[in-house]
Amino acid sequence: MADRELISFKHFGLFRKTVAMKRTGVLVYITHLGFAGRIPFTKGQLVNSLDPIQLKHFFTSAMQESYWEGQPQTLEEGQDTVAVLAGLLEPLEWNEPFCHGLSHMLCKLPIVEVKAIPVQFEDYHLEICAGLLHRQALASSLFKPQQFLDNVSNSKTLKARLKIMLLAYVSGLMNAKKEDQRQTKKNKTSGRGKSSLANRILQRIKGIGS
Amino acid sequence: MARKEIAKILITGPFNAGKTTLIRHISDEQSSGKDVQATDALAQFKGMTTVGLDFGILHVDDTLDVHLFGTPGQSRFNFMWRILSKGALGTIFLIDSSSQRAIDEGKGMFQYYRERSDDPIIIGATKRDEPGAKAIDVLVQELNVGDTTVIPCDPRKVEDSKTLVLSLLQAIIDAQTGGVADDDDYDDLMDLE
Repeated sequence: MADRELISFKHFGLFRKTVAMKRTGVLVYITHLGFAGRIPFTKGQLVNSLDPIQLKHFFTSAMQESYWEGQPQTLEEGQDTVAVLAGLLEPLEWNEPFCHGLSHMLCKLPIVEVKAIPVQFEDYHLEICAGLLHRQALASSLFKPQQFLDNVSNSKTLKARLKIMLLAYVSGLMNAKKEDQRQTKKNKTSGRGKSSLANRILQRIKGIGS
Repeated sequence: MARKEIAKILITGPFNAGKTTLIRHISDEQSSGKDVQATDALAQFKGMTTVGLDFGILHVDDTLDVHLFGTPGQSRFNFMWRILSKGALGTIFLIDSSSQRAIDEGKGMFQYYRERSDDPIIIGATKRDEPGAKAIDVLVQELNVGDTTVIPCDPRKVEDSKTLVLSLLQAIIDAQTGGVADDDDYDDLMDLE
């Protein structure tokens, strides 16, 4: 990856991960989840938003590489997979080369103004973010969907919207890492904690339907 | 106000095993789990499939919620399995016991989980009423799951869904306390009325 991307990711505070990213690239995963018309991007609009160099890169990647049989399979434990399950593409059949090319394109976007993105995430942000652009997930009480959507909707350009989505996801990634560390520490210090939790849940489950 | 504690349970397994249904039965709120028309080669087996993830919340009390995460079943989502399994108390692995394709895929999936986590995992063998459903002992052998508990179940039945989750919770308790579930424990779980 070019220095530009590495620098841009430093804006997130992902200093320690930039080395890994440099080796593996950042996978941005796009699927055909829909916003149900709220953000009606189409594949054509997306491609039209790219500049000629990006477009060339995009199609070159699409033609030369196979997404599912390539890089993602080689990702190892501890390496970052930045996944955006995006509703960018209105019903897009599973077109792996396209996704792969798109991931390259997104990685090329300079990412700035991180702190200006007032997206709030709570526990398990990462998982929620994986379904971030999933309409039902957006209705979750775990994060602020309207705020997120407003940010996206108010952005003037498609690129800006894409950045917000990516930023939201990576912000979630960072917070989830902190949460993981907190949880790991907690689990290490309290083996009985799990047992206690399980007991409480067990009683609750028994009560379902009765 | 004290922060609410959150426990996490993962529901996983290959395509078309009943994960979405199980989460529906156990959750007070289901925030995701959008089904869309399957568009790939699996469409011939299942008309609608889950994209993204399933997510349900079970409110235990004022201080504890359980988050139920269901992974997408298709192998192309395998990068999400690792993400979703982080921090889980335990995992329920559902498998369509009538589908050789599911069993073949499930074998690799199960190993994937086992290699990455020591957390308790139990297996729910679904579609027992379908033609060609494998006997449990055959399933155990074909999946190569060793002494992992395998429970026949039908997630369409609430009681079966409950039994699965209760079995997992008991396994979590046993793992933490060093106890081993005996037949009485299992009978207690089955006696839900």
